[in-house]
Amino acid sequence: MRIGQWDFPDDLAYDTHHQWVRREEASWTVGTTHYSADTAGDVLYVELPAVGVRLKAGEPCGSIESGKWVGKLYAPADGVVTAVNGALAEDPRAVNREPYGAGWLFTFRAEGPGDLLEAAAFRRWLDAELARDPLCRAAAQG
Amino acid sequence: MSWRLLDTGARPAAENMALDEVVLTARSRGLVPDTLRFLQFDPPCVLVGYHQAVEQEVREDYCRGHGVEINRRITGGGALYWDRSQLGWEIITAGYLGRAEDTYRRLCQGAILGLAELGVAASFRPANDIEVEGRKISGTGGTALEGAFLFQGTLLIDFPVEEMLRSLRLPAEKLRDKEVQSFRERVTWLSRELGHVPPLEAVKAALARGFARVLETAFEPGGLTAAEEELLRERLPRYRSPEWVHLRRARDTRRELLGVHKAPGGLIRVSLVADAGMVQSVLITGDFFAFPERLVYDLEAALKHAPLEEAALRERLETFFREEGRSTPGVTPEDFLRALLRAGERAEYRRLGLAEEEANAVFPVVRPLREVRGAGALLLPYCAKPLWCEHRLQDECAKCGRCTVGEAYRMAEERGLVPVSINNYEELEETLARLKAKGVHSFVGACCAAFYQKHLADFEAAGLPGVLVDIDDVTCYDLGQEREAHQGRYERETTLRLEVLRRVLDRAAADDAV
Repeated sequence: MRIGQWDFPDDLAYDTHHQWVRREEASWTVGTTHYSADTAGDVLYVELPAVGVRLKAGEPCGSIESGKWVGKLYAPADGVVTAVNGALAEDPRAVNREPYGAGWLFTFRAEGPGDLLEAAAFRRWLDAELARDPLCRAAAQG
Repeated sequence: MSWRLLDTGARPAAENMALDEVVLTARSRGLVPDTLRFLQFDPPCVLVGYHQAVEQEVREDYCRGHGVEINRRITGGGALYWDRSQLGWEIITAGYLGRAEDTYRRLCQGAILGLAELGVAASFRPANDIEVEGRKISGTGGTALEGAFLFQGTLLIDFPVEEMLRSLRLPAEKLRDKEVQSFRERVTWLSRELGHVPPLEAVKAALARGFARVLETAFEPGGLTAAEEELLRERLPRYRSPEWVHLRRARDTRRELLGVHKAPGGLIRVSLVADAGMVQSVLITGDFFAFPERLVYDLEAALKHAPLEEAALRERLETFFREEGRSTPGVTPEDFLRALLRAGERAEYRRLGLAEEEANAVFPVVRPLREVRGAGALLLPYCAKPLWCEHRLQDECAKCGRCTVGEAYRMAEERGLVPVSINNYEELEETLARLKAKGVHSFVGACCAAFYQKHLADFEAAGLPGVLVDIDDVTCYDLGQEREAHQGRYERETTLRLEVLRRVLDRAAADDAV
């Protein structure tokens, strides 16, 4: 699925922090969306939760810096972190290059449904979000 | 609905940093309206960016000894020095602000309108600075928390550049006058632009009017709410704790890199900080001519946050120089690229066996360091021999053990290299030609950075790959005695960096790649 100039794979779920989630059994992989990676600019630092850390749905669990902007990463659901993408320490721009591939952030064992949107519902949410701001609407159409 | 104008006055670093989180949290919970905050710091402090390590950015001993507090921002960007002569402004809002770059531009426009009212013609410089004729007067950064945003900027009213250089680890290692001057040229401050220090209240009022225009709102003065005071009490201990200040450990991926390239139009010297392969900051100096004067500062800004890779750097340079009216006679974008890549090559020196602090003491010529193999000779400057030494001006050494040269001779011989003492540039040129004619693959040498920079083009022309190790000492160039030195009359003894030399010899003596 495309919204504006950005890709959003149909088989992923999304949250309102511009993160995607790939759900495979109880192991969920988390990353940032193409929209988020593109609008934030080149990523300089990614701080990920440690393996074994307990996540609480909706709470900050890491950070990502681009330009001089620090954004938070949020836990998409309750659970326990099982793996992190250590390669991002050396190559944080993988988040920009391949947000749905090599730029993945962490995986966790989910212990609840979380507050996720399927692709179609996410489109409705993002369309509304983009409509709130004229600058952003122009970017979405460009 | 009007915004709150919150002036929290001059406070210690921990309180100001805690207040960033407190006001942002209060806004995200809907407890307070959108807010414009003014802040200052007392006592002076340095603030590292959220992801930075204090030990890599701050001269901790100096700060501790001089009452300069150290703390960490919740926003990104680089380390900053603050005292009462800077004014901080912050926009805290739950409004949606769009793409990062548009937001920076829009909010900086508020500060620019305020500066215009004060009589200073400033403009926005991507990605996120405000400048006056190329000199930075305000930098910005930001963060978000659960739907609320914090944007912050500095405004230099006055600026103690020496204090900043003493407190921060900037790529100006020895704080020479020239380096202080380089930093002074790149920033400006209100009192310099206006010729007087304007009243603080007038500055705040002008900025507030500027922000009111771009945000299309009005400001209502207000203090911290009871809920914010409560949150502040709750959060302050964390911001006062060493755990917060030292939240990040030194990053193994961070490098301070130096690159020098001789273009027909002059010498280009780049000093940059890179992390995870990205340019964090860059200082370009040299003796080339640039028009307009601000060109170099704008180029530095354009290179910031560029990937330290040939294709990406070339694209940024070409884009930069496509803009009309920018001219550097005798220096092409390709020359700047060469200097940057020279610096970039150093990022791999640790893999070649050099410690971090040694990497900038090594200058390869003709070929990159990794390709300097099968070295046949070690060239040493006479100035490293003692004044009393009867061999000082001769191509020999008694290896008596009373200076560093004897040890260097021994190290060379153990590894099968011929040691040669050099008295002046002409002898060096003859020696390089002789070695090349004999089929020697490469050489190792010792000289000061000034000699290397002066003769870089000559080394390149001689065509023999080699690696030069810096002399860490007062040199004839520092003392303006290079003419005396050339005539063999330099009356000091320099010291060779034997440890670096040993490592370089171990590598260069091997001939596996030849």
